[in-house]
Amino acid sequence: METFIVLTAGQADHVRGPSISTQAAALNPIERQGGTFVLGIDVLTDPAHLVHREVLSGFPRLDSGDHAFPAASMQADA
Amino acid sequence: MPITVLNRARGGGSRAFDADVLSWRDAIVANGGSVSLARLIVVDQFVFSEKAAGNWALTDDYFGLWAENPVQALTSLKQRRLAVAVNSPAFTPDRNYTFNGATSYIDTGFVANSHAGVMGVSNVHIEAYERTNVSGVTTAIGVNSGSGRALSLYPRNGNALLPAPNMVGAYYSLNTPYSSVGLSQAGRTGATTGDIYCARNGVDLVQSLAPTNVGAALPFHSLFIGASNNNGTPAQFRAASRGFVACGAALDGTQRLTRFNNVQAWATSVGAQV
Repeated sequence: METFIVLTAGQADHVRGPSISTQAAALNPIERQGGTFVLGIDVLTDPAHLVHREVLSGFPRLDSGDHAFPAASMQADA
Repeated sequence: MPITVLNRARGGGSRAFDADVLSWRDAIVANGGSVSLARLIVVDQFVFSEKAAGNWALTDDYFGLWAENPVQALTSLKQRRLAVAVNSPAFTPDRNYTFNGATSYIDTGFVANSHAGVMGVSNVHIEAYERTNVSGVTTAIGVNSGSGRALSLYPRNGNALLPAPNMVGAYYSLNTPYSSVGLSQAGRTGATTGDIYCARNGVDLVQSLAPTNVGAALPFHSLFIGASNNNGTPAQFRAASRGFVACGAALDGTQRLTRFNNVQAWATSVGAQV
């Protein structure tokens, strides 16, 4: 079971974008239903995103199996 | 070490390293990565085999994700495009990138509509080498700009492989035991829904449902690995490990099998074969 960091839209905007230390890395929080955004817990140990580690560490976390984990947003099918 | 010396290390052959391979190495170094002599030899052999088969000229780009380091994995072999690892997919040297199925993916930066050199609207080949057996309507590689303009591979959903080589809606029956593991290939060879092929490890699969729509142009969003780029939004995340991706113009049956053999030789050389 994966653990995810849960962000608001504003928090997602704050961390979204290319890494300032690694040119081939970026953060793009993924929107879920209810207007929440998530990132995998692995971003906390990725050196490319060290600048955001402290702020991301302070956000709430949810396991993917938790009943409160927001469902995926509806996307256009292929 | 001089190139002439490096060449002698390759079993006494006098063939010089391929210029495209040296350019790929130089791009990786410029991007902050590295390529060992051993890996240079392996990739040079792959490119040599691809060119000998005529496949190199039919391919727009390759990503060898079973690389020695992330920069090497993310620097494409032919167009030398530096892809971006988004939301920290897990890199394992000499094996693959692993995606978590919910947030992580790679943005290749390859926009078919503007970056394709040999791929055409009705002349498409896409492929991906999956190293873990996963079932689901989730994409190994994908982009969807709507109206049938999709380049996507769903290596396994139950007993079927779902390909979208600039056309959508097709199903192909997997052989038993059902698995997503190996090299999934699909292509489009003409203007109609009948002009489609799909193969696993170079062997054609049997179609169980025909495509429903063909793209009248190539997608104009970038191709993702580990998810689909649906009109600019990542979706259909696939929780699997992936070692290789390529795209270009359609390959015939012989070329598809040769491609698989070349890819499998590369995988075997680095210990990533499945």
